[in-house]
Amino acid sequence: METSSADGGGTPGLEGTRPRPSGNATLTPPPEPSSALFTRRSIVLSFWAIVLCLGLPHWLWTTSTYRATLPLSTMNDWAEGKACDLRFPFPIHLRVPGWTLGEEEELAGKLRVLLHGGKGGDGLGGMFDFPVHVVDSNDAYPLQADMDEALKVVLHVNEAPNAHEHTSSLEPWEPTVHLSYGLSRAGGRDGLPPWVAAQIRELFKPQQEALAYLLNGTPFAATKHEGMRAMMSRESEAKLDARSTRAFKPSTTYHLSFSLFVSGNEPSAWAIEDALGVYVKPLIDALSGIANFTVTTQVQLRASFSPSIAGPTYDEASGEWKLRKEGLSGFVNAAEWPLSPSVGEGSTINFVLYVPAQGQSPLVIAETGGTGWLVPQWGSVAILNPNPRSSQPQSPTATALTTLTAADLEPVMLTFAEQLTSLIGLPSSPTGSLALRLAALQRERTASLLLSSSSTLGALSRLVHKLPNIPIPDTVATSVSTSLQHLELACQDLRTGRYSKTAGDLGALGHAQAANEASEKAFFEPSMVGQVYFPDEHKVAVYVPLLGPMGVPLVLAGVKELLGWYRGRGKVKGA
Amino acid sequence: MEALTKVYRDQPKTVLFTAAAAIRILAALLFPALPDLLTLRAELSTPVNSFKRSETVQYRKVYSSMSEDSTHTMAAYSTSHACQAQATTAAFAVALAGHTSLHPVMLLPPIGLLCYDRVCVQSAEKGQTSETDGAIADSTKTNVAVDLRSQPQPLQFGLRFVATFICAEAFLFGFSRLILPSWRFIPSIYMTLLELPDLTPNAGLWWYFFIEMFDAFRSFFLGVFWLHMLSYSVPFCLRFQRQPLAAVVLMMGIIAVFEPYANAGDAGAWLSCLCLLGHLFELTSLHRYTFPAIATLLYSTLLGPAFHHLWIYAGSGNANFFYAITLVWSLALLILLTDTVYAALRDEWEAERPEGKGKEIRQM
Repeated sequence: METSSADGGGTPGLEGTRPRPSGNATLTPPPEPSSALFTRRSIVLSFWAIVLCLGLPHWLWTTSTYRATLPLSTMNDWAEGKACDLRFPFPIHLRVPGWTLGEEEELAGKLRVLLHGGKGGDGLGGMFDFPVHVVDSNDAYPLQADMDEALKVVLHVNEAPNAHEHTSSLEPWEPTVHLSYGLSRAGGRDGLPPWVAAQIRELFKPQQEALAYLLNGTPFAATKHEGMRAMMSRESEAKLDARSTRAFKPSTTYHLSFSLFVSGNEPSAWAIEDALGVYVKPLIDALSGIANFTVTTQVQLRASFSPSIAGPTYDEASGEWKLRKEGLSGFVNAAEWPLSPSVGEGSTINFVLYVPAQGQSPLVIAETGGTGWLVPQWGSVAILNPNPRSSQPQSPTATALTTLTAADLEPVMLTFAEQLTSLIGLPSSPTGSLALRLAALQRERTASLLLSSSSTLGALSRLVHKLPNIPIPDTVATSVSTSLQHLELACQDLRTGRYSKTAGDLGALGHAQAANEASEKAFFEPSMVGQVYFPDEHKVAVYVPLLGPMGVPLVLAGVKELLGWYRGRGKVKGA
Repeated sequence: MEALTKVYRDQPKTVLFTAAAAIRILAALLFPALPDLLTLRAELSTPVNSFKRSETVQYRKVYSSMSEDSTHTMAAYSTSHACQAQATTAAFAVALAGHTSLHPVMLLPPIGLLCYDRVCVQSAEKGQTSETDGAIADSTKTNVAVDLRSQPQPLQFGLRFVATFICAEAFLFGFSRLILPSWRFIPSIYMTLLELPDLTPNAGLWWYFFIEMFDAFRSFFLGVFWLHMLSYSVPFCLRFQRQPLAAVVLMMGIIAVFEPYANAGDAGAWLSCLCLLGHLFELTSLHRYTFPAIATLLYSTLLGPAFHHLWIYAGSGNANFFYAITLVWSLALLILLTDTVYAALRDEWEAERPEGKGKEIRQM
């Protein structure tokens, strides 16, 4: 391209072929004919016309960034915890068999006062509510039918004179506690309401601590911070720390992958479907309200240790092969064992059962003598040492060697089921009732999803504010508004105590999940992610290599012609 | 042999075209594997002219069969008709060429200029009754005194030429719509060229650049590449007002080097068209770099396929090897192009000042 613009003035350049100059006499080129001058100028002009008339609009058109408008202030409100005053009601239903409705109502009133307010309140500005309602014996709920029942208290008042036992027992599959109160004990009838209130408080204490732990340090807890801190004991905080480091981050789908890795070639099969049906399926069914689960299984023979660990050493004294504790982290041979990586939607929880070779059995962990361990946020590993009896030549049947039966798998499966609960973050207390633990998990999940989507929206808002050049596609605006909508609904549902999914409503957890999904989708919009790390300086590096060499002759020729035109005009004026 | 020479003297065109057609048909008949072999060659086959790759773009199928050959033919045809001062046919041929592969549209200004030039010459010859019938244009036109008043108005001629082109293009679109089921052929033909969706390595300069390009700047630089090509069209016409044929040939060279799916066929067509400027060969070979350029062309012709093979099939080279060689190839073509520009300018100058013939240039 330089060729023609420079060669526009090529003809005068050829003037040098005139007779060679003698000595130092300087020759000036003969004046350019005006037609050549006109041609040259029109050529330069035509190049500039293309640049200015076509190039410039094209540049403006293709590099302008489209920014959809986002509800930034609402997003910030959520991120700062202003948009939603988090409240966790624990609706309690009370039934006292044998009492009249009036008596029940009176007790309920007293409990309400005791649980909620006064000096014995939680000090968190009513963050935890305990609305108490009376239900009749038919379990028909006269009030607040749309609230999830957090706890049903069935109080058996024993009026027999020798009854001074106070007991409390939980139903494992129902959120129900059976209290029995012996009236003859000290305190009598007056001591009843405080005792019941204390029992209820006791049941919900770990739950309150867990929620306080979740909210601690987030903007949602700003006003209640002191109360929160007072609430946590150091011990329970450490426990909650451990729980949250172990568990996967909340997800709507979990892929459970059960793998059998065998050092040699036997056993080559396992009755995993039976074992799962018996030991894991009930748990998964119970958890289905919280997330979706998929299950895959696989068997891999001749699975060798990763070369990076030292491998087990034989301990003469106990006759066992010992795995050092520091070797456990490298035990799973990630390079060779076909374990699915946790990519895409949902998290993959791996359960690995390892059967060592006969020559290396029994294999145990050196420090504890145990045969299984949990890998935080990854899964669980168990070692199944082949039954020493089956290695005796006289006893084994063929199937015993080649197939692990459901009975063989029982201890391992129970461990796996237990570890699954801690991997998805199911609280361990109250120990007696799975239903209460699940409800607690549901509340915690809802809260943490609310927090995480709020902070994602806040981050997006800050990003948009900080990078004025980043394009914002319409899809992001749509996702943000979806997310905000679901957050609003989740907050409402949370405050009224509707956690579970019902026919007409997703429930607090469902809305929080939807909000989180939409906010993540908005934040990780591919066309924006690419631009986040693309500062303006980089644009120079994009434009200069091509446009620089093109622009220099253009600009130089343009300037030269402009100068020439200006001088020429001056001359005409002077003459 | 005698007879053959005689036939050639009598009917040079017929013999030439018959021979070319015969070679083409014979090659396909004698070596049935040849088309397959050639479509695999990166230097020859691009998404625009390849049958095999056109499967994704439905309507290209219809066009690809004619596009490669016809674009060149039409460009040449248009040039030849422009030389005979037949404006309508020239504009129609440009429209046809542009209809199949878009960039020949850039030939419109130089071809229009050429046409106008010949029309002027013809009208001048008609005015001179002393001349014979003036059927064959004399090349010593420069010495002919021309009555300016009898010449057609340039603006008027230009408008008519452009109008003819637009009508021809409209007719072609209508005709295409008749034989094709829907209008979708328009985006599938032109967007392939404008948006460069297929970045398969070829002999051109675009693919590597757009592999590396950030997505946000992709459309901008696509525009820059097209505008760059376009920006030569008018300046060539302005500078080579007196030798419009040179402007046409030079513009063809620009297109052959800078077009989106460049291939050896386009370069070959351009190199053949250089023969139209045969009178400049002496100047280029005397003063310029014809030998290095030809050597570079041969060098890249040999190394290009080798590097392509090393990269794609043997896996022992990488993309940079092949891209470097396509750069060398384009460089060689550009050297030839600039040499031709020089020679054309020098020729013009020498015509003005015969005393400067054969002298070295020197910058002052």
